[in-house]
Amino acid sequence: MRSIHRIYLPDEDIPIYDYVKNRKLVKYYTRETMAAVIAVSQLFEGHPIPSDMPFFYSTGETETLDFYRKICSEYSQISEEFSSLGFIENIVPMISPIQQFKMMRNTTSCFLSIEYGLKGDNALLLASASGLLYSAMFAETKGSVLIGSGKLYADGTVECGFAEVLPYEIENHPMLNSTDDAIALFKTPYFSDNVSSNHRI
Amino acid sequence: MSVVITGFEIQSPLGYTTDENFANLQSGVPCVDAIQNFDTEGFSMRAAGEIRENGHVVKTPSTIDRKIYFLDHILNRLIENTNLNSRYPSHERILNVGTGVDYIDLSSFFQNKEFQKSPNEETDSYYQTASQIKSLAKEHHILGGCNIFAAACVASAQAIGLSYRMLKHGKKGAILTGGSESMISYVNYMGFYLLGAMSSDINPASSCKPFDRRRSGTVLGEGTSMLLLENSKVADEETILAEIAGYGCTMDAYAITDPDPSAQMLAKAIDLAIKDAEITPDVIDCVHLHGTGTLKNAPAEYLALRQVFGDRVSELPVYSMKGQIGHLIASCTAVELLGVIHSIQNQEVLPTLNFEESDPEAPLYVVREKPLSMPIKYVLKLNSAFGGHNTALIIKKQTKD
Repeated sequence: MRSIHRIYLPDEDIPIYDYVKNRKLVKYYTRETMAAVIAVSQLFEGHPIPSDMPFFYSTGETETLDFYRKICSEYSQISEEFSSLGFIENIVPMISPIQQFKMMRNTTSCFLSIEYGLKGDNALLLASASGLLYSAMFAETKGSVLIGSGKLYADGTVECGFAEVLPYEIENHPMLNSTDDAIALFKTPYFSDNVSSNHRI
Repeated sequence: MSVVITGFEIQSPLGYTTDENFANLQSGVPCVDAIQNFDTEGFSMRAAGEIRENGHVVKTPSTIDRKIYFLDHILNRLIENTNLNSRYPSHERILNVGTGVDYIDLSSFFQNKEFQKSPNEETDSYYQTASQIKSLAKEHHILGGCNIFAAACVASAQAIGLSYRMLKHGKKGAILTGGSESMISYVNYMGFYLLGAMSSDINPASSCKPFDRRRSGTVLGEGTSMLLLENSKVADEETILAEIAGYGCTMDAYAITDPDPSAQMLAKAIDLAIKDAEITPDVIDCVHLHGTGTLKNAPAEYLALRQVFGDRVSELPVYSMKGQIGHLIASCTAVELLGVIHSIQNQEVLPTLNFEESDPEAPLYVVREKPLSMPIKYVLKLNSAFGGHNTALIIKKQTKD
């Protein structure tokens, strides 16, 4: 078992261009995606990742309020009343397709798959530690499994954790029936012996 | 031991009760219409499949997250109709559900000036999906685990897939699994429109044309469908609707918006599901496809079937429910299992609504006009998602040996 845990503070640059191969796609990346791409690169340290390695990822509750605050603030300069027509004529032009991609929950796991050529068994969970562990335990492909979790906080802090595990290594994990967010897995003693962390919170 | 479906409850554009859903599915009545749940003045596209009760759209105030509202209803019904509480202790009841993006009541958020609050202050108009579902699980005394899946159009397929694997590998208990989705709100509807996948046909009833040469995109729908899965050894034989016999899941790793045109990984997902079910492709009787009505979906599904079934693809009946109810995104697999159960119970493949002209790039055997009666033991159910996820489920008719 190998694992990694990374935190980037609100004003901290995430050095994505030092790691990413598909540079043209970076414009679609959220801070969660950037942190995840770097963490996986560091976890494998240049070793090839088998394309059929199962990959299960749990994202956090997405904090998209910043976006709504921005569009409503701008709309408030135009009107004091909310209406369907006002929404279409004034708010929709502020929403770019890129923004929509960033709001899809599976953005990070999909870009990780594209970046590292991961084509095997997979699942994308939402704030589910237990589901992430069970998915890895019951993956149909033999061998090691990549699990990960990311969380973007309202203040811009982003946190992620990844581990390459063998299914038997997690079958007695204490959070197997937990309803906690999966990011908590990477802060437990279970993974801590192997954790490489850049910040402690 | 096998994994069996022993309970099934649904609310969808087809109806409010499960019986109404089966009846309207059979009758083929179009269920996509002009949106009624919110004011669409100014919208160029106004069609969606909304949940109806006795033919009327269920309207909810903007303070309600509809996907959670309907999920609550369906959990109540499923638990009651399966006598779940008397058969399994709360710690042996597990909830695995696929769902979509968070809901914001943008009107209240704006009018109440919540946008002026600082990031760390509580907002009343923003509804976080995971915390709402985890609360629902507690309220319904489902305390064995709560796992939420969110991979867009395969979210409920992945929820069902993990549920199947958990029981197959010996996990004790009953699993309530499926999906709940509603994007019929200002922000989510328009957000989907901006992704460029919406049909350009503004006539609601004909807007989604799966597999048809004239197709131009999909149309959104909303709905909730939950199954009760149990180990066949402890299930009441009389309640078994069907068996989940195999599951496969892959990733294209190709593009965030488009399916891989080679369809290799979709074919691989089918192959994995067939091997998991310990069968061979020749025993699959029909295929319930994803069939979104988008330009790139049909050729990809055709090519995947061709890779697995060879020349037999021209005589393998296929079906998509989306022509009738629209695309229910995170809950589409769970809702479309209604069609699979119909096929197994009635030994027929239904016609795909709005399919009239075959596409030379996807020459599938799409059933038209009237149901095709045939012996059906194994149904292959396919779904794919924005981002490149592919899922395949094998559903088997249970026979008394």
